[in-house]
Amino acid sequence: MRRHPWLNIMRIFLVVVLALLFVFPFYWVIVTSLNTSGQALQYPPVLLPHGQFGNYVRAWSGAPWLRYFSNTVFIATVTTLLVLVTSLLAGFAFGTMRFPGKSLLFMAFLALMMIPQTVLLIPDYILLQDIHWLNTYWAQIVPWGASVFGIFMLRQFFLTLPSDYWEAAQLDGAGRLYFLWKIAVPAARPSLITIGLYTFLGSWNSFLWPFIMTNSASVQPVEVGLSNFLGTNGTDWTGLSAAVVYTTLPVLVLFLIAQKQFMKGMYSGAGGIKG
Amino acid sequence: MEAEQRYRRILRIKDKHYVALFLAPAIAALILLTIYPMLYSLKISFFNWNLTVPGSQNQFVGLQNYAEILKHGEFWHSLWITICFTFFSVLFCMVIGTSLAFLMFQNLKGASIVRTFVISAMVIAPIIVGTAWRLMYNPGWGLINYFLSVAGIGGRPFLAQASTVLPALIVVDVWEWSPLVMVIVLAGLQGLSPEVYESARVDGASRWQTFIHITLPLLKPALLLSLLIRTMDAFRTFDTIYAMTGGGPGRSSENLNILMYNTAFEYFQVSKAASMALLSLIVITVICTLIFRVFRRNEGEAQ
Repeated sequence: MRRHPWLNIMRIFLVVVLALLFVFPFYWVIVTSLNTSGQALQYPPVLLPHGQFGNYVRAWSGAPWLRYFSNTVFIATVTTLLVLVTSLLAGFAFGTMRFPGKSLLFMAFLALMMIPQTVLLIPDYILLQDIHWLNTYWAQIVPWGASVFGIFMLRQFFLTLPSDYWEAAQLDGAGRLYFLWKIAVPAARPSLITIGLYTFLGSWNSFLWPFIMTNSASVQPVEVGLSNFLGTNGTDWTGLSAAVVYTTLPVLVLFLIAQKQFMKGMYSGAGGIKG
Repeated sequence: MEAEQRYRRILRIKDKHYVALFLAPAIAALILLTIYPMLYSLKISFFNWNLTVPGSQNQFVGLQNYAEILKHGEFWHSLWITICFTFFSVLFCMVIGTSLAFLMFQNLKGASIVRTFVISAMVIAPIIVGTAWRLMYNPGWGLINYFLSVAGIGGRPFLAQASTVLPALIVVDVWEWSPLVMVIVLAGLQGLSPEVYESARVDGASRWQTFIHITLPLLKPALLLSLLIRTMDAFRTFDTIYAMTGGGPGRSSENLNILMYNTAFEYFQVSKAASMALLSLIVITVICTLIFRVFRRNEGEAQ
């Protein structure tokens, strides 16, 4: 199909404008984080940075950020490992084994685990309080240890894994666990990477849950740290902007590195729901 | 086929203890993390528990919490806020996200870079997005008011006015989540076979006709998926609203989630908050079922 050249130019123009629209808020936060507070409050706004890295030093020393970051990394990593294990085991069972009530159980999983966590917030708060888990890492990890997305995705994968794999393994005298670990896990690697990536990102970005379940910086993640910082340093705009920049950076870098897997996961997720 | 059956047979015989072993963690999670808390939530909704009043967890009041919630205005107000927010956010997300997907699908130069830019909006934590936009909306020196004044429109304190706070929050939600719709629709587009277009073109269909009669119906699964995900997520928005307005000014942006949070963790009325949570679960379930029904009815000929 032939197109008018100006139509194409229009289209490119539109795409560029859109890209700017999505990047601009963060560009501006970066600019603000690098200006003096006088420049930040100037009108008309200053749209270029002026290298005031002192804002970063001030913001960083204003809160236990290193603690927050280590907490987040720990929580997100352990949650991800836990989700991978539970998804792998349950997905394997649902995808390759036969047992009575399987489809009913699977439906129950899908339906019940769709219940938004916000509904479970209040009962879980009380239950976690009763077992003295409030303000611990566990309260932020264990309730997120099973993922319907992970179970679903691995079940789909194992349903399509040819039985030859298992037959061959059996001839070699391999047991079920050996088979799972040595053959199924390597084969399922792409799915596992996708699930891990999404779980890690979700855990890293969560706010409401840790915000309610914790109250001391020693176990709080970085998102709650930012909210605390906003509460105490809300008028230090340049410092706040600096904090926004360095809390965003790790996730952005992770996304840029793993972008391909990220998109692939979306595609397989969207493709899996067809019909 | 034979191998398939043998495979199934082998798996059936000695599987019982393996099944238990493999499913145990997930079932334990399901019971302990979902079923038990749900039942517990239902139970406390029949009591008059206030976390600051000792012994109040044993005050059985039956359905009184539900009756009170439905009688007083605050729940209905927040439900209305939530529904407005969800409706407009999802509407614009769907339109903008789908348009973005079509734009990106055209193999323009640099499309992948632009795609990366666009998607980065949704991988950033909502609490950070909220904080960043709070800076953008600042009435004194925020960029939004500056741009409006350059365009000749008077600026205003968007987040501090009851009349503008919801649209302002919706803009942020649309900015953050249109990319999700774009990605899902792009996935759908990539799954379509080019042959369908070929035959449509041979039949002399115009671009618009092809779009309406062929592309859109084929994209239905992707559109339904993004519509459901977006509706559920917008309905339970908390982080961005909390970071930008905290529900204010007054109560003008207090959606159900903020109301529940305030009820349970500011006023410590956990029973009342649990009842609200269960009511809101019913509402969102009904909404999603309706969306699903409508889509399926239109799909009659395809299924």
